[in-house]
Amino acid sequence: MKSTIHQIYTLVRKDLVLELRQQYAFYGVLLYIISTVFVINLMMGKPDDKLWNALFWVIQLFVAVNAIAKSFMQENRGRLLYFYSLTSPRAFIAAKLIYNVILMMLMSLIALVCSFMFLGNPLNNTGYFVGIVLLGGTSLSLLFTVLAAIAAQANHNAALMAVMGFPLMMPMLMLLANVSLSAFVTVYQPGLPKMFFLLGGMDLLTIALTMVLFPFLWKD
Amino acid sequence: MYTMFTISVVNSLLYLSKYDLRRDVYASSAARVGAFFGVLGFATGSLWATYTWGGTLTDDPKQMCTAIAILIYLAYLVLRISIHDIDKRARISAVFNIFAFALLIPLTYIIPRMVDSLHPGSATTPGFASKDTDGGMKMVLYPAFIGWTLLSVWIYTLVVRYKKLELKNIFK
Repeated sequence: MKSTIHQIYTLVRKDLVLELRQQYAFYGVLLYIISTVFVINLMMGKPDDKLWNALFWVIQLFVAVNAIAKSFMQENRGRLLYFYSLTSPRAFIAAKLIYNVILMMLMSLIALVCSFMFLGNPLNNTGYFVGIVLLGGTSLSLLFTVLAAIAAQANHNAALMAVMGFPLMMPMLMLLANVSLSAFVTVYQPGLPKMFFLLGGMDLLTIALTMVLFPFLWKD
Repeated sequence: MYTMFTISVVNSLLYLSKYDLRRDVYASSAARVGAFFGVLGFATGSLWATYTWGGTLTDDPKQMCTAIAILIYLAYLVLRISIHDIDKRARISAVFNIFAFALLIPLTYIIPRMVDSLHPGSATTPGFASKDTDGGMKMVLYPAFIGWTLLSVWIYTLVVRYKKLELKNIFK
């Protein structure tokens, strides 16, 4: 048990150190966010509340696809085999999940700041929205990590990840967009705690399923 | 449709526990028939909604959830096409199938109950649900559910039998 935690810790640290040295994913995604938000700004100036919300979550979705697809793409076949001989598959996927959650939280905050800069700040309740953005980033990154693992098995096909991911993502995004509406205007939303509960439940379910199913994917 | 998807996911689970390729064939056939029935139901339902609700694609949650479920299973079929090795295809698509089913199909039952729907029976208080649909309509509705389900099971057995002939080397 202790060695598993140690393995996870080492793998997460390895990913983080690699990221700090290469800074490839970070700057790539940063440029991606800024250019997307800037294009929206050029096209429509400052959008109103509902549009702002919708655009923000769409940006989040694409950022998640881009950031997380990279995490498996950069591992070539030989290196995967090397990890296979060193660690258990559960430790490996747990490390990937943790690393992607950290990465995605950072990216979400950057996306939020960029949106504030270019699209204005229509929020009433900023703290609440930041919380939702972090929660949403976590959910997106968990789900896309699994999909990236599946896509990596299917010959590293990035288009496949989008095809598989978007339908799975839709209910989660709908929930997130609904929940975050409260941050713009004070509206009465019945069933708001239930939606949070559902989101948290989906996250837990994703983690549990990944832990159970990843060893099957890994065998090759 | 949900019957077929359930058959599909059960077979995927069995495939992962035994690595029996026949299970994979059952799972993919069920997913295919399920997606076909889903498209049929969605198309006729939208056509009906055009005249009754006054819009082909309303923002009714049940309609949206059906569309999403169909998309997921189409993604499953696309995933199957993209992998050429039989064993690998069976394994990966089984994992995706279980994942998608566990995460989504319950949700398509939960979300419509949380938000208002244009479908009968989803009024805000469950006490009035029995007054939504007329008894005479129910007498047609429930046998129709059973009939379509049985029809889909029959088509599924036909597909499986066709596959058995096609893939003789797997089915000995």
